[in-house]
Amino acid sequence: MTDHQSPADDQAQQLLEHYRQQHDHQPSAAMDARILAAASAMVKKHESQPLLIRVQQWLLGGSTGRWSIALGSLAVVGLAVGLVFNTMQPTPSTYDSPHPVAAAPALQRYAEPQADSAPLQRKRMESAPAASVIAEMAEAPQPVIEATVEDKSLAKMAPSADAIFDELLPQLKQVIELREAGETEQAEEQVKGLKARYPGVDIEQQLHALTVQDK
Amino acid sequence: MVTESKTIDDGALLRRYRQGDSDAFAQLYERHRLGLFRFLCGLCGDATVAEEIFQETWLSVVRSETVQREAVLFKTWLYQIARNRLIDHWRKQGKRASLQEEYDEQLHGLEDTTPGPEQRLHLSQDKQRLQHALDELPEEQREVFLLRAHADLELHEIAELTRTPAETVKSRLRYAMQKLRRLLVDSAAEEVSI
Repeated sequence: MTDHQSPADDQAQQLLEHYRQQHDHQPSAAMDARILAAASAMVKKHESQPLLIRVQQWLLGGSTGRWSIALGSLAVVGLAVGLVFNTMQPTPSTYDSPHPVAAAPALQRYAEPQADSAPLQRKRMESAPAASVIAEMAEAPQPVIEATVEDKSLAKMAPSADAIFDELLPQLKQVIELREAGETEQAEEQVKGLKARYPGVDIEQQLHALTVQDK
Repeated sequence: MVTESKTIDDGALLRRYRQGDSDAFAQLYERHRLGLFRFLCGLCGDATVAEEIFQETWLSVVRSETVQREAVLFKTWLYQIARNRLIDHWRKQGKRASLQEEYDEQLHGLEDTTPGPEQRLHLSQDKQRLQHALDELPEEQREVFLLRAHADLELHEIAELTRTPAETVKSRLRYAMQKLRRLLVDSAAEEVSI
């Protein structure tokens, strides 16, 4: 065995062997017992772990560091994507109206500044759906007025000019007809009522615009 | 070849232990306990410290979730843990050894007056002298020598464990051998060696 070794290697080997033989320290029996007991205790501890954790450790081969970071990052990315899609839902067209076309009091719909209403009137002249809204207002005028007076903050909400016009149009026409029929007093009573219900609308201007258009 | 199969067995034993086999750990422990303990005793020269580090090292193995990766041998990993624990201990004690090797390097330029390689060495068997000779070595050389002697690690394995170039490890071992020969042979001149 030593034929291929140089004398220097032989001496080195001799020195190593010498130390191995002379260095006869060894750990105490108590030390051995403590370490072996700790090893057994760890085995028992793992056996009492939930099956899921043991399966995870088996799958990951004990090295959870890198994979747990990767899986955690993936979970965060998935959550972020989910949040993004959840927040991309379209907002309702009206702020406080759960059923935009439902039979809700029209008090929630206030016109934008009057300058917009004249051109819109031309578009909505033939509007049929507005009749249902107007009919609703005709049936319960008092509650609408009360709500209008009590909750001024609703005036600041974004009303639909088209919806307001749809409500007003038949009533404005009625006023015009009354005036043309000479029923001035009755016409003025209606105008007064409209002004109270739609404080943000210039009723006279709307009537004038309708009158001019008809001509 | 024998070493290879033993290495593979270490990894298999560790895996079996991680899967709940306490006997596998007992085999691993029996296989490496003496080498590790003697390494620590030789390196720190204090049996109390050696016991403390020895226990901490094995408990780290017990508590670790690591299974042996192909690139890292169990024995290398074990001695790496022990080495790190000892370094931490020395840091707490404020021990510094970085200058020793520099100084001792100068001695290596001196003529080697030990008997020629063709002569068989008569080495002292006095345990105190043996430990004293080890203590005379710079820490890095002592570590390399003890890893070679008690852990039976090859030079490239020592290089990996200590994160030192292989050539540096080779030099350190050579210097350690020269100095130990010089110290032990000198001592043996005063004794009757067997």
